[in-house]
Amino acid sequence: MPVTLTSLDDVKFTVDKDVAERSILIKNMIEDVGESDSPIPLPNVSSAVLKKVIEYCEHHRNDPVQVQDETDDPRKRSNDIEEWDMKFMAVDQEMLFEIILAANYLDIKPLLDVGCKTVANIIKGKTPEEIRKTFNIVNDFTPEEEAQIKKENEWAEDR
Amino acid sequence: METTPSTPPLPPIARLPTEILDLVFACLDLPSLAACVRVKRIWKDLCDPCLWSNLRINNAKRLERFLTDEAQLVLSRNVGHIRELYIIYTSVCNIFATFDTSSTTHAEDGSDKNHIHLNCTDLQTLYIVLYLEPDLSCGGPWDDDEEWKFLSPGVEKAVADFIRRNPSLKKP
Repeated sequence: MPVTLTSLDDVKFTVDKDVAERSILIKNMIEDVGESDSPIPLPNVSSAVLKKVIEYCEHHRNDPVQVQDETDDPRKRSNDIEEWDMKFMAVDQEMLFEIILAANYLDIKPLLDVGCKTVANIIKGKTPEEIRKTFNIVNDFTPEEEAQIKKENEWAEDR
Repeated sequence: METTPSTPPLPPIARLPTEILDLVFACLDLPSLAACVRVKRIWKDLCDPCLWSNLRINNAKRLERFLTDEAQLVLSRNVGHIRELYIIYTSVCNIFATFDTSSTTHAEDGSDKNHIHLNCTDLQTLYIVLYLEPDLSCGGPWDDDEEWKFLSPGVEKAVADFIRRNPSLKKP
């Protein structure tokens, strides 16, 4: 049975139930309300973002439910983004962060993971100044403070 | 007409709540975290726990830098964040020879022949993994193995001093 989702800007999307239920939030809503024809309002997600999220859920509709291993070190897994996901995430920053926020709100853990890994991969290998430039972040350290922090954490650097 | 000075719009990344930034930082390696702590105050606050949680002192240069007074001072400030401390250094086992190595546990890959975990009783979350016979060919958690040949002679003493200065690393 298809499910209708309504975005923030009142656009309706009709998707298969198993696609919609990649979102734990929606899955729980459907379970609570029971089978119903009335659309599910998603007031935190714009239609542009919801369209992307649905695209992800459709591609991953048959994925097995992820069992998270608590002891699994995420640092070891930051490079294991599959090719389709990598292409899917090749969007501008605005959209990237919107997708992450939507994944968090809709409770789609694998999408949240892949989003965070994408941001991590953007950060990797960059100097602090390059990171600020990339994300348009204003430095709020004094030069002295930054020099001190650099000195203190030099052991962790590669260079 | 008066114009009010316009504040620049917040960058898109500012929309991410701290709990999501935490997830991002958890994906980063040590050098990247060392860069992130210098980006912005709030980033430093968020990254410090990540940076200090898994200390992989896995090459000669890093070990030397880790043993400087500067780094040791910061270590003492951040000791509460430490979950795992790995010092991977072939000769270190001599310094630790007085430790009870009976608490050998299995490594992640199931092999226990070249790892010894020394569990510290007063800081339960802190332990040292000594790679007694690192198999440098298998590309494990250690890197730039070539550098081991160029260790300065003072390093061994410095590791011993480090252990002395950090009683939590000592077997009671």
